[in-house]
Amino acid sequence: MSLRSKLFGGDPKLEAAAVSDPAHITIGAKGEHVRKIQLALTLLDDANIDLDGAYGPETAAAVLDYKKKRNIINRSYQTQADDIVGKMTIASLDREMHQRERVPRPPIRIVPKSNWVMGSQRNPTLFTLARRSGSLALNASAIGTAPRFGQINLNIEPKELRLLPGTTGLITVEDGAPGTVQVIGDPFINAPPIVHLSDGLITSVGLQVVDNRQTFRVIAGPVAGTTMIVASLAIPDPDNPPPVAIEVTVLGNILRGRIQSAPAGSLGFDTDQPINLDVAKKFARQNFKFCLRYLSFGPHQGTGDLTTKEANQILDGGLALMPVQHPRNPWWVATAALGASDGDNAVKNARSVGFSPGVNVWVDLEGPGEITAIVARHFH
Amino acid sequence: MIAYCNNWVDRVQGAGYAPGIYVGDNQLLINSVQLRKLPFTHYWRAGGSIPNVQTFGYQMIQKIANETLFGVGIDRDTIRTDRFGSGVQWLIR
Repeated sequence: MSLRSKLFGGDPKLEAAAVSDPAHITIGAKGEHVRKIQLALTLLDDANIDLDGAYGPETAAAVLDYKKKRNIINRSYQTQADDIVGKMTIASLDREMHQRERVPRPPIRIVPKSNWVMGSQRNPTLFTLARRSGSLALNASAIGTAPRFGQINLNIEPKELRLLPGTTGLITVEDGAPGTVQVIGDPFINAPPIVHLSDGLITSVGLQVVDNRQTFRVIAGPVAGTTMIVASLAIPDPDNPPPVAIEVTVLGNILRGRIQSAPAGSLGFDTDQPINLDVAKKFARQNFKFCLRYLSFGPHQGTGDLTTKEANQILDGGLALMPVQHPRNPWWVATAALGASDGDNAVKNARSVGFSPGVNVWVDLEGPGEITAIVARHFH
Repeated sequence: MIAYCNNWVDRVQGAGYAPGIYVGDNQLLINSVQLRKLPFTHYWRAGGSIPNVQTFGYQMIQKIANETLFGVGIDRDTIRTDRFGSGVQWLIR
């Protein structure tokens, strides 16, 4: 069997899961193939899950829900649905995605999950895709300011984008190089991207695709330090382009709130366990003022690490929040290269959760021990 | 370790965040010359026998009590201002 949807087709792990029982995908799996399953569940079943590429309990629950609704049960050995993506499930997801991709869609809108913070809040990012004079053009307009840090106050983080029904193509947003505008896939781009800057403000980013190739990608970063947009847009049928204009409003998952210097004497806690809204409220009622939760030292948040959803619940529950990067195992070796990569990952993960610049990001260096000696001597 | 810290701080600070360090209770020694190169300005003291701050100051103090509250295992932390009057920067609504 070969998967037919553009979302799944060609993905080796999904293709394997479609034909091989041992290749089924289940809780604990991680990677792009899981993110595709999560996206499909979101699009097809309106699942409210993070598109983080981690097959955790929430994804498992969404899979189970999807299978129950469609009565996907392997009667040869089971009497009720499970939370595993095996051959029957992948076939069902692929079939529905394929059907969905083939249906012409009206203009779409990606709904923001949170509002901008800091600085002036103006228009959201706007993508328009239009067929003009035999070419496809993507224009992205983004407006924002962040005078405190000299950065445009616009962070588009990839994992929180959610396509609502009506999607014409697949739009994903990924990390990109800050402070640059790049086009990937240059063989079919005949002009450099057009960037208009005004007083530190990106007013538009545009590029032209001169033929009907199916995909193109634009990476746009406003100024140093902030990734703005990385978008990859796949057009299902280039010979039958989407309506004249697709309007997509994209907002990132910037956590709403303000950065504040913590008052002395405030009581808080750190924990490696996720905190939900109810628990956050209970802590707040006990006079706890803040919480510290973990970021991975890897490139992606792991199971049990802080998520955007959890961060919102902590903040909504009345607690302030700071992130701290996990310690490594006790005998790790600190090197300059590791410091750079751990720092990069701390930034990436803090951004993926939605932390604005200015907040404390902590590093936990319990392992090697030298640091304690350094600080102890320093302070003595 | 200093090189690790320098690079970590460069990346985090370069992204606009305020880098801070949790000072744990391990005790391997390194060259004392290096200590002056420590690039952090935010310090969080772990529970246990961590030396008191004499020059810079901790902005957060942890108390390890193996405590479980509302089903969550926690360590308590208390905010301080350091000797320069600075404190931690948190996100709040």
